[in-house]
Amino acid sequence: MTHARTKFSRRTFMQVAGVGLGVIPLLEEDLIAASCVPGARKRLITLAWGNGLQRWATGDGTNFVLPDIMTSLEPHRADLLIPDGVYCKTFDDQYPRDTFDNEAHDSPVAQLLGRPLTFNKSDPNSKIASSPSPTPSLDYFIAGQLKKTTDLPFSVINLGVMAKRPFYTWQAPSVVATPDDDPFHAFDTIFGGAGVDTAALDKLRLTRKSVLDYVTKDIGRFSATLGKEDKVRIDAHLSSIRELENRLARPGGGTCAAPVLGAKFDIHSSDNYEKVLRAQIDIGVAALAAGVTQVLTLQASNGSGTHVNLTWLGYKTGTPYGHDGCCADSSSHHASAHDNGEAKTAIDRWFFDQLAYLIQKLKAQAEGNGSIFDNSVVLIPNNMDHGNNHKVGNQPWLLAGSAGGYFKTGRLLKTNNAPHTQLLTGLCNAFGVSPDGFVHPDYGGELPGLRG
Amino acid sequence: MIKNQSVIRTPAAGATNGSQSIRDLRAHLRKPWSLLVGVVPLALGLVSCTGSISDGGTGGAIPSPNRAGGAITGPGSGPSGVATDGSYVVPAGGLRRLTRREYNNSVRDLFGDTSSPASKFAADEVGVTGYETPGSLGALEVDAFMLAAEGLATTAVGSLTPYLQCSPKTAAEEEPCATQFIQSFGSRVFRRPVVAAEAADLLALFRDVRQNAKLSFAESIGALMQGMLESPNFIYHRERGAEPPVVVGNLVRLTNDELASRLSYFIAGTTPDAELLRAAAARELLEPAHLEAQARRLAALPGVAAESLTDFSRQWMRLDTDHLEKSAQVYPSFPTIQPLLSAELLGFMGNIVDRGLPPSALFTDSSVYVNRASAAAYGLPPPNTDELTQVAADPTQRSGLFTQLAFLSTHATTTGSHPVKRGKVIFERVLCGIMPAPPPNVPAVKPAQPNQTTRERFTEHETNACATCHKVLDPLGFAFENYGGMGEYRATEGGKPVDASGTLTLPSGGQITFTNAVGLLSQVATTSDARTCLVRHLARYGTRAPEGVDADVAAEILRLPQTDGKLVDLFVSVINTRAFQYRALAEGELP
Repeated sequence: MTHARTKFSRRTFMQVAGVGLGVIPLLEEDLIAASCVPGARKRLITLAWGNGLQRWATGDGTNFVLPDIMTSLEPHRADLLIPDGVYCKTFDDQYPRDTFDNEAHDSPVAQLLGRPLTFNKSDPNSKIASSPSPTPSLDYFIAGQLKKTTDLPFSVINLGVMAKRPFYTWQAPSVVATPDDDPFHAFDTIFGGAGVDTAALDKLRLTRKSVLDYVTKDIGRFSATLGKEDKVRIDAHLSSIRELENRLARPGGGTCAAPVLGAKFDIHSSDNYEKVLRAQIDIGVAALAAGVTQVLTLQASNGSGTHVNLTWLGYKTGTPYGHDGCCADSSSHHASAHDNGEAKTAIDRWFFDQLAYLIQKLKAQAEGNGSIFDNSVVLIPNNMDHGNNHKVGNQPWLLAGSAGGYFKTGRLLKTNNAPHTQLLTGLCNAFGVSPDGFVHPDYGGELPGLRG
Repeated sequence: MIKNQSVIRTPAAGATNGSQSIRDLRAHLRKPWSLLVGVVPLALGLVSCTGSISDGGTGGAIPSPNRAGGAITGPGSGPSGVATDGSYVVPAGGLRRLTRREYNNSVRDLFGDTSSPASKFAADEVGVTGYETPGSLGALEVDAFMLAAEGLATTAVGSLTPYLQCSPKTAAEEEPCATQFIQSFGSRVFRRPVVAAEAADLLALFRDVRQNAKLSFAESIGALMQGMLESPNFIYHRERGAEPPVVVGNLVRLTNDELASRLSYFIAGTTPDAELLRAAAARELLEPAHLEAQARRLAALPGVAAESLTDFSRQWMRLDTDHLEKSAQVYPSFPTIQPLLSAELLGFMGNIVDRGLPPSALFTDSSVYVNRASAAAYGLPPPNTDELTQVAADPTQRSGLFTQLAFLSTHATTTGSHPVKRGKVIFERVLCGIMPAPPPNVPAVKPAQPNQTTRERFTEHETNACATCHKVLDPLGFAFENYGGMGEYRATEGGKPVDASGTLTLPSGGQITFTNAVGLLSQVATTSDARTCLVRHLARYGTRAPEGVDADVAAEILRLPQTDGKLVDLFVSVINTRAFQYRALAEGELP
């Protein structure tokens, strides 16, 4: 795969999902190096992975030291805002198994929520990993609020790598948002339609619109008798249909960058882990630049990574290595976390390398007098402290970018293990979105010091 | 699955005898399947006889599904749902969509399409029951369902003869033909008669695409198929048509239409066939005898019960043979054997069903299905064929489902056996024992020493803080030390004799002493722990009863008059429970 970009007209890639597979023609007449963003807007980007970190930044204020695993972020020091740790109190308060601390591997489902999961603590059979969420996750919540004033084709673009539950994302209360872990499919969904002749495209769009109109009516009838909770679920189904339908009606315009994906490769092989994530970053940044979304979520792993073998980093499947769950010889991300040795150092460093790559891509997209990075904030959550202790305190969360000057970056912030919900509150505020209804009052208030 | 679906299936699909995956599996099996493909021609169009539905059958007394006579009661007796009179909380319905398997099988039977389009969907959510229970659709799934529907419709439009009983010659003939299609095909897709408002909206869709999108007549029929396949009435398990539901307190008796679907998806993993839709339209299914007769009819169809029991076993034992990875150095033959693993399991189940063996056969039957490539792993001489062939394995080495390669290779590492994984799944899923999660700060495993057996490597568990749980799990896992990471039999490991002996303390308190897995399994098979646990898991699979309630459903099943003790009878008996035939009304839900 190459990561070269070409320029082509948005009118050639109608936002029609699934159309125009394969070759994207080079349209020479459209190679105009102009921004296609109609107006600078703030962007929320989440880059999530899991299993904690071996080492974390030290110091205070502007006087901080990045650990060796974060070397690739040195060029972006001034853009970082580093809490020295946050505490997923919402999860801790709910988790019933006091005898064994809490199971942070299950906690991605809770990390981007401002209140506890709907979890029956008194019921020994209730499992947190399959408990319903009371709200959407932060990305979908903010997107939903922004949509009221700025209706973009995609409220959220949610991409992943070898996606496996538990995910960080909830589209709506109780409705899991599954990341798209196929960059080729994601490309077609976002930029598809190029290379398909106009008449065929029009026919397809009209047909889809008619079908979705019918389905919308049918869902209305179907949901009339549903109970309260199921109504919420079917509403999420319906809103996905509406967004799909709205994209069909959207005219193209402007010129923007789209990545060129090379030949297909096995997206479910650990060998290609880096290729997939790089492609997803390329697609996501191109989508931000094209103005088709302002919320991008990249789930680079789940909360344990037992299914991900570190083969692309040279740790081969079958090499007797580490402790997977209990006692397996394995080269998985999870095993490396328990072993807490050089493989963990390598995977931690690799994730930060990908963050550096993402930041560089954002900085390379011109906007106004600067880049789209200036109007962005990248949130990097994590589901545990160290990969070997399964605790949800002192989680190494990180912000990169000021969201248009809201956050005062270039600092390490002493938080005294503050609830992570206070950071989520700050992110809502940065987007001018009231956290009411998302962050529970017991867990609210903006983390002091975010704005300097 | 090989199943007589000729009525429901289109003539075009008549040549198709199963889903892609199962058909492929079957291709490996020499017998008994080859004799079992039968076609019983029945008239098309039965399902559209909406006018013939009578109101009889819903009035009067509601027969208790429990022939032992338990009272029907509503929820409210506490979180676990146990009440003193033996009644229990029937689970609320909850919005549940077709699983990937159900989707694939349904479109196979509706369209004759064996491309398994749902295999591209995101993995099904595994809910609190531990079984696949996907809920509502998010954006990614809505997109995937749309693309699948478009693909199916595009293929179907290529030849509409199987779907239409009319062929309009003039513009005026088109809408009556479309209307007929909406009734006949729509009722199959929705698993119940299409109601008037739905038919009107579908006809409006037909007009819309025909006139505005300028689709051809055939393409417009294709658009109707898309609409039906993207409709919640196809996607979700909720077949609410014109039939009024019967409410008993806070419980709703499933209607005939709902029972037909629930029965079909449980027993056969697919959309109801014509006979079942006929019985639903005739409102026969509220009568327990009729319901049970239909269930037995479905279960007796060739391959049906075996395929569903295989699906149950896959979820019960958390088998994921298609995604296993093994070290190429240690197991160079694994890539050849891996594609056979699910077919082997299907063969094993087929044998139990066909011979009418009891549930204990899951623990004791030593027949295996092997071919030239896989025989060696079972320590058998290779048959001179690539087809899977039934062979009686050495009964001192193989004993049921848990000595099949599928089970042993799943619960292992990439390079060897894994006593804890095997012990844990047996303890938790076969014996329904409860084991807390491992604590944090688990120490790293020490590197293997030369000449150390797997069992010897685990001895540190006996002394450190892990002993509390591992003294239960490890002996159970050690019993399987005669099987390597691929399931291959071994009498020695690294030159030392394997020690597979031990003592198991059952969750109910009793003890079993054994010298190896065969001895363990033959004893476990006779315990009430294993018997009850199997029934609990069947209840979870069949009714989506969560843990806790599953024990109550299991108790209800075990109170039923037992038939002749076949595994397949036990499987079918799940339908005779309140949890299967009723659902609780959720908050705000209209009956």
